[in-house]
Amino acid sequence: MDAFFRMLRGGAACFASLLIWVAFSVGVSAQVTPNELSRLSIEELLGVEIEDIQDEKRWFLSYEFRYLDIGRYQSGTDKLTFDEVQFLPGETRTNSNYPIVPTFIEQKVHAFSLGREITDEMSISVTVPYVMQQTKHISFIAGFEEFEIESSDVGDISLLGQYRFLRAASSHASFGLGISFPVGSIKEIGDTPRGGAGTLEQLPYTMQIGSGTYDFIANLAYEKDTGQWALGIKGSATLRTGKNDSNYRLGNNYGIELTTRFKGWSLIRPGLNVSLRTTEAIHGRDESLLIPGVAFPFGASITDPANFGGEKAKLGGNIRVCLQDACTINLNVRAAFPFYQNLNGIQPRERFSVSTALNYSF
Amino acid sequence: MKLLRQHIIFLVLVAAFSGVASGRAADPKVTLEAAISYNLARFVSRLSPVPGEPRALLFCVREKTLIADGLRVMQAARQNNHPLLLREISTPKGFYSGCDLAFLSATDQKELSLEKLAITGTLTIGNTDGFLDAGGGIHLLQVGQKISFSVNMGALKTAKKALSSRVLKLAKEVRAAL
Repeated sequence: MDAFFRMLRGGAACFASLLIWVAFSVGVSAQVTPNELSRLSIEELLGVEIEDIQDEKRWFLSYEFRYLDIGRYQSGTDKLTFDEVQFLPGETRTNSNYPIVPTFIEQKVHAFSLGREITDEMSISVTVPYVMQQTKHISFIAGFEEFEIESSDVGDISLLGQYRFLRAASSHASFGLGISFPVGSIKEIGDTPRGGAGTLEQLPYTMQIGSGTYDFIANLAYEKDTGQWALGIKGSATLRTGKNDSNYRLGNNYGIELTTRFKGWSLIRPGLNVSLRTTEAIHGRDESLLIPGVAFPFGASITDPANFGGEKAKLGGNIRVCLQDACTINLNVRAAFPFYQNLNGIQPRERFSVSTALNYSF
Repeated sequence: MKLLRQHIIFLVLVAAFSGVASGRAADPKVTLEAAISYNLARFVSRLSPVPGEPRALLFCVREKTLIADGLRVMQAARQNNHPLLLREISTPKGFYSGCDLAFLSATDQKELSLEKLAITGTLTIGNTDGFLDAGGGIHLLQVGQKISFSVNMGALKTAKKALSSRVLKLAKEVRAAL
């Protein structure tokens, strides 16, 4: 697993490998227009899927609700209890215990996307997320024994172009390139123990809404029909640039996902996926999160930029339900559970994620 | 529980939304059925051609329907190299007017006798359940997200039509003539 993640960190090499693999695997087209249908043989027509037929130009609209549940601690691959992470008076303060311990973090995102098919091969979409976050904490500090902090606002808006570069009756491949604009706030504040009760201080990295930097997004995907099953592979990466106004940059991340979908039923499509993702630690640091004049300036693990990123492997399931025969309106529910996490430093670990998306094309 | 409640509310909204939006959506299923019907028709021939009879087969379909629109697109793309003429018919009785092939909707089927159409030389194509049992010739059926077809050799024989063996090999079911 470690060796694989090392390869994944070399994101460019991974993408190149994928590209070569795809190039050797694919033949012609999966998305077809009515005019293209007239040029297909009867054998090819019998292989065409109803949902792959589309008008010459088409809009698509999507709403997705995502829920991410983070809680309890881990260092590397070792699970830690709250007691092991929390610093209490009388104990020796080190760089691996903290007076404030975030226990459970919930992140909810309402994401709205609008897209347009520019040509048969190319589409462009814009996604606007509304992010809501809540973190529960424990500490020994009077008045802050148990407290919660929330933040919510419009997140980073992303623009993504997708190009289908290989097409076949039973397989297709595409790549996407995009940019995420730093619309989301990185100046969220709240009442933390750092300044005492009743004052508002800068919140940690996890509670900020946006990255604060222009980020490039890339993906490369391939899917092949094998009878009633479709097998796919997708690589994706987020590459961040420069540093934000708080003098840091979130880590790049690189991921790969293997998927399988059962296509034997017309309206319901269940699927399984395994994903591997590696995320770098934060570069730079937000000085306003530090406790000045002490040997250990990080009051909580999530204020230390080294305690971010790591490697995660997840097993997921999803089910897509077509709400009509042509599937122009469909619902996609996904859930994923990490079965392997190797985290940088001491940080809360991911427990599960769920998302529900409604997609409509017209 | 809170998460579950949010998902249930979302699903209710989705159901309401799909009820409103579904009426406006185009139907790619019909487009694919039109493409397959038109392509199948290319492999149909008369069993005993009459001297002087036009070489082109007459493919009939009800006018102002989505399937007619689809067949027209196929016709336009192949009009110069295909012995098939498309005729759009305004009333069900028009199907008895010498069609070699006819695409019948469920509504058409209610008003017509498939057996009688076969006797008058028309090979029928349809997508309703029990189409072959009712005497239809080629049944288009949805299998997963794909369209497949079954063939009734009895209806072909009655309509004095033949279907290429290449196409018969692709059929999901070939029902033998009695």
